[in-house]
Amino acid sequence: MKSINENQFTKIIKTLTTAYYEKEKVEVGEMWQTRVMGHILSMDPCYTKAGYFELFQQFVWKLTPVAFVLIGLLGLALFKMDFYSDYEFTKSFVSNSADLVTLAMYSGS
Amino acid sequence: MFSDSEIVSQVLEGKVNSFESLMSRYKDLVLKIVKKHVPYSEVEEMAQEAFIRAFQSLSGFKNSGDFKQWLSSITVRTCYDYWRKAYRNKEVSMSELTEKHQKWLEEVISDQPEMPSSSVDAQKEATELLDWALGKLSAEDRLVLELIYLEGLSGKEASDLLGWSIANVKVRAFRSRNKLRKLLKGTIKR
Repeated sequence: MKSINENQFTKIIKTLTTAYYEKEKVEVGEMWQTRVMGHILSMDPCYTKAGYFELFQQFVWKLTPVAFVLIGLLGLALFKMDFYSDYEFTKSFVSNSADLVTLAMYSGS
Repeated sequence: MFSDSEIVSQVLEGKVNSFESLMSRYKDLVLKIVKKHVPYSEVEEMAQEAFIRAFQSLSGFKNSGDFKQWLSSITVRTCYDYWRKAYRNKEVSMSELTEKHQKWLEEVISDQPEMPSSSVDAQKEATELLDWALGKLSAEDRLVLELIYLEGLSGKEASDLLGWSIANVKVRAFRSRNKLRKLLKGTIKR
């Protein structure tokens, strides 16, 4: 396979650029603008639709840091409560460590 | 004559017909962008889509900003979405290259000072080769390659239009250039 050096590649890009700009010469129909405007006029008023979306967007992004803090706190609380209580609660009733092991085996934990 | 910001305010106040003034003012700009980025058969539809998107997000336009830049960005992103959809639905035509294209490429890279692009046939082959090569790239690579290497925009300008970070644009531009080079290298006769 022949290789293309930097100069040759630059030359190709330059030639392809000419072809690329040729695409600009395509013409569109005369009634195009009227058709688009007709479509827009038949749509719901944009300001209401976009307004709600904007409001929603602003609200969501402002709440993001609070959401992260809450998720962190909730995760920490769950981690502390769940793991600690199950084991510690059982341990307070069962004084013998052998019983505790047996209990763990039967409970499947 | 009203400024762009004043017309935007009028439309947002309910005078939807005023949007036509913006359309008349920027129709050529939108069509110019769209014509370069999407196939001929899709130009009218994509230009319409760009104006509809602009209309729908008009309240997001900051009056202090440049409307032309804002609309250009919406138009480029509309073209990008077109290609993403086309690639996803496998609607990108993958025409094969012929001997003529290979010959054209070899003539370009030969040391002849005269480029073969002067004739109509050569121009056609160049366009077909370009479409073939761009069709082999992803939607992202395609847009970045067109904006940076074929239109000559800076990384900052392309990042503003696409809404990506400058670093992302630069990395993509580098990769897409290499991919194009590899593709063209593969087409040259052994």
